[in-house]
Amino acid sequence: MLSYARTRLLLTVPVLMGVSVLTFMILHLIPGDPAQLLLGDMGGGSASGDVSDAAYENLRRELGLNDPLPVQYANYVADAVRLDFGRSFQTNRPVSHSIREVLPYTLQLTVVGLGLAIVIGGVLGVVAALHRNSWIDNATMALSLVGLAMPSFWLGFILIQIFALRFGWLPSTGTGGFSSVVLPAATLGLVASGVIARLVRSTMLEVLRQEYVVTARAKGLRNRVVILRHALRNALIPVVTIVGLQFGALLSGAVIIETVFARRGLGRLAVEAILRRDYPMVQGTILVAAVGYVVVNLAVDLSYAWLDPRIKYG
Amino acid sequence: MAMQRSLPAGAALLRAEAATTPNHRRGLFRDLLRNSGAVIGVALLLVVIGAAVAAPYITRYDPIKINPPDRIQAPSREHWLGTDQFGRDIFTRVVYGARISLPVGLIAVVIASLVGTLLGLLAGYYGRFLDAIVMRLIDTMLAFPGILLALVVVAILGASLPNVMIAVGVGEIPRYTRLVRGSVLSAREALYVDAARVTGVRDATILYRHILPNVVGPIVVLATLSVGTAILAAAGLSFLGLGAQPPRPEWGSMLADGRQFLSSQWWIATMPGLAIALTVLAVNMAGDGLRDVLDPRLRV
Amino acid sequence: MAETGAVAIRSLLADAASGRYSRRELMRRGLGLGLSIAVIGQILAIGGAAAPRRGALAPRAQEAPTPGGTLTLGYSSEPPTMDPRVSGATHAWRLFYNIFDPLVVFDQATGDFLPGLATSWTMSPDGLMYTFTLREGVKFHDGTPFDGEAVRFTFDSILEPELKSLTAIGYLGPYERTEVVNPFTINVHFREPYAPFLNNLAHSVLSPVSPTAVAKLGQDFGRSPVGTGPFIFKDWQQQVSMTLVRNPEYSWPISGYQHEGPAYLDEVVVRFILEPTTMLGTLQNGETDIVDAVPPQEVEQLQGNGDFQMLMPEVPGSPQILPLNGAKSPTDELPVRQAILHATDRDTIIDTLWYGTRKAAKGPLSSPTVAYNPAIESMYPYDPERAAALLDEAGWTPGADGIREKNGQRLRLEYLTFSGVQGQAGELIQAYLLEAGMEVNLQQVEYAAMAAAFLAGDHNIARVYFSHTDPVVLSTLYHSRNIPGTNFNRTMKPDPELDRRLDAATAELDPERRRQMYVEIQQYIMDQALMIPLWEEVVLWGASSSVQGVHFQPLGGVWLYDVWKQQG
Repeated sequence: MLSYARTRLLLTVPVLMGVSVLTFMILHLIPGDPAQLLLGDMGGGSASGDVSDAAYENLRRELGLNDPLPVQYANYVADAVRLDFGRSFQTNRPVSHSIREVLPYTLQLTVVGLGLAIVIGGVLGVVAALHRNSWIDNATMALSLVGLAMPSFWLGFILIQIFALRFGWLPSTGTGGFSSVVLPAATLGLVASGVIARLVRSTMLEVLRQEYVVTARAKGLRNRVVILRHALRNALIPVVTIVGLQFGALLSGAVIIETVFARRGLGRLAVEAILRRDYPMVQGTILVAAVGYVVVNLAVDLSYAWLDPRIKYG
Repeated sequence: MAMQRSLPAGAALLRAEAATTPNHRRGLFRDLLRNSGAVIGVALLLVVIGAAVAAPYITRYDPIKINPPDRIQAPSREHWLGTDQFGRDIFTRVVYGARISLPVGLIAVVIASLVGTLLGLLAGYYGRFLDAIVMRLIDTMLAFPGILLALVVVAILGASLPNVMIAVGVGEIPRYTRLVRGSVLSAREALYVDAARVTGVRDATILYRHILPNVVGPIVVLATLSVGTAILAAAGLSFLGLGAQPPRPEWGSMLADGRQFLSSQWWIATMPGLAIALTVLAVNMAGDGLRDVLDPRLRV
Repeated sequence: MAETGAVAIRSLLADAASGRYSRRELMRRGLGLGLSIAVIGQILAIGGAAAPRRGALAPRAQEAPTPGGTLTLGYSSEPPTMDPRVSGATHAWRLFYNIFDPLVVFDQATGDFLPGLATSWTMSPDGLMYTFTLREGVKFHDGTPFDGEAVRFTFDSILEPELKSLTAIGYLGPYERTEVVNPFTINVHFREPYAPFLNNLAHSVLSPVSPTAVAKLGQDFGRSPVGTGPFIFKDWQQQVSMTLVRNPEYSWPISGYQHEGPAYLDEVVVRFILEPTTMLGTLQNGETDIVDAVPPQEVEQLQGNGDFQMLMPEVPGSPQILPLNGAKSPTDELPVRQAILHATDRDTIIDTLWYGTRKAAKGPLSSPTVAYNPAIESMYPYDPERAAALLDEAGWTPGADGIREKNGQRLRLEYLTFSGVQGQAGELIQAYLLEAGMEVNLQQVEYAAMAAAFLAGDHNIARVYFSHTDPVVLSTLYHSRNIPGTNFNRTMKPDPELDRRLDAATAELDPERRRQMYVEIQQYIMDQALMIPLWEEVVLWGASSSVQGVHFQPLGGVWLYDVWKQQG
């Protein structure tokens, strides 16, 4: 088990290296000059008397854009291993400060959203599995498909229209207390619950047919006990896999929901940095998201052992 | 959106990985017909395809030509689903939109499945060094946030429909590679493959004749289910302003442009939104049916 | 007849001031009365200037302002930095004015310069030196006294390369040095005469910063700015909000401020809401008191609702324009450029895009800008026949599919822009040009990629927008030195004659002669048809009706100092 963990941990090194190289290459492939963008009218129209050429040249020099690419990459890696991503081109603030500030909010949204998805999806899935091939099964599965089929930004706007504007029960935007996470988490949760419901249903069906469950039933254990103690626990494995995958991806992937609800988050930070060619910020946010993804997946793999004692690692 | 990109595909992956022996071709259609979800899904899909093919016969309006005097009209006898901010008939644009959104979903999936399958075959069959390289590459791609990957692909190549297809397709590659590699790993050990290898059959032939047929089933299932996620991913790109080019009636950009009217002129965003949801729903239902048929272990 | 006409006009005036009718409705009625568009424009301006748009507000406006309370302001963009010396974003400048006081105040209505932190000034006859007398008894928020040394420090630090100043450095022009004659008298020296300096001083980017705070905070000054203004920066939560609190010691209101002593509001919370659809919702359900980006199609609805008010200051400078590439075929031909202008019904396009909230631009400057030349307004009316004739004469004749051709070359225009309203403008222009036999390849790309393509000269039709209170903005957009590098001149073809005129106007110190030079430059730019003017920018502020005392900075921001909230 320990050696397995160590191997897995070692494997993350080339992946993170790969992400950093990929990010760096991409940044220099994308057309766009960060210095020109800083001076320009991107924000919808900056006022300008007359821009001096000296200011432009100075900017390129000070941002290190005139250095050869290998030098730029070496500088970036040398700093990144010390968790120093430099200062943002846009804000001149240390990238690590910005990331540290927004990360908890992304985690909050992801945890609450996926938690909601697990509860909704779990209940729907179990209900469907226990009534397989009945109208209840069909209805719950159809319901689970609806969340899956809607573009998340549309669902978000609809929830805002109904719960924030029509009824005024919840704030439409923001990063305040718990009430402000409800709508974005619900959007995320509704979308994700569909998959989980279907997953829970099918794994439940599979597990219910396995020998040990049949045995447990034959031994006269009550149905509910069988479901909860044996079937559901084993059905959790694929669910944990999917939730883990999602959790990692969402660290930066919740950008659309964060934008719709004007919420703080790593995804928004990353997308805005890409659009503004804020190289240090792009590198920092993507690397942090990648680390998150890798760590969560590692945790998922290791959790199998706990969930299903039959799985052994050599 | 990353959510929608990867979740169903991931689910299908788990599901499909189990299905390695598709020996049920003969009864396939009969089985499909018995699956009510699949029937509804296929029927819906046929409606959408029909709309795409017969668009000019279904509506007499032009999906592109602007007509400012008629703008922002509520649904009426003349304009069943109302008009948009440029006075174009929304029903017409939704109908013509099928000509864009379906191909976007299909082609993105074709790109992803071709590249992903090839990588998976090579990694799984040759193993060792090549496997290690390919899998680290795939891990890297998975660790690189999906929507951001699509975003930079569009940024580098430019925002156009083909590039949106590529951007969405690239993000889906890892799932196919993982799926195919897993299937190949188990198929490689089969007796008949060993036999073929021993008798000196070329690798390419073995891959094509003996290994590929074993993984076709899961690929088809995954592909069907990911058409929906691809359509949603393209819509997400439109939301971020990097989708199809105007004045093309692409559902995602119609929805994104129409969102500003949500509070008072709801129909502008609602109709393309419903079109997306129904199409994705149809594809998923059909995909589910297909999976049930191809994966007998789940037929209970 | 004359008398009934006068009565009708007076009632129209009253209606305009009440804000009960949309601009389009008023326009329609005005035209019915036989008024010219210009006159109706005046009437509408009156309606816009009278802040209370709704009858119900008028009596209450007599109330004495109530101090206290928190104003929540919905803001469509988050400033990258709050260091005025660094920032290049207008959205940030609008906030700077509340934290930093400018040395000079620009009166948009008269074009005069009034005292800010500088009480008086003189210019040497050769134009190489300005002498400023500074206000005494002013203190920065950190207690540092304001004096000539602070001004010298501010200007000199802007020139330091490590600061990476974006705009202020350009605003100093050919600045040489500042000499502190005595604590409250300074001489600012220039290497060559620089006419826009006073104007530039009126912008918040040249406002004095606290030297002690800069020394202490260094690069992080932009995250905790310290100025002399009526509001003190309190804190900034990235992606969420910024909080300003009243400066209790403020007793040096600059010109234009309408009361004495500290500001009315206890606190201002600026909330960053980038999604316009969401923005309006926050105003409607009370999460914000005032927002800076009401979706244009919702303006009429807000105006008709007694709980809200629309406030729509016009922004001077260049309008939103589409520069035409003079170095790439076919827009290198003057008749083609002129035909493009005649073939596009821009009044209808702008009205379609903006629902009557913005007016079509006619030339290279917006109408509220100093030196605006109204004579160019009639140069390029929508006239498809004229467009056709111009193209025929130039040898572009209709081909089989209706697209014009010359020597086997199709008349095809590459048009790059980005999504949103710019993309929609593109769709409309594309439709009109197609009617005229011009094929348009419209591409919406993200901003950065678009800017890169412009620099490479791949476009026929580009886009750009810069606001400013001085016509020197024309140098940014049309001087050949800005073709490479920053590429803010996207007409791409160097024009020595235009360069000469722009340089002369920048150096001309006599205001009247300078004005005349810019009037001619506008004529020259339109003669050459260097761009398609789109619309004049307006900020669409929407506010709860309880928000009072709003008046506007030169670029459309709100002076928060005089704002107060009705209680209850």
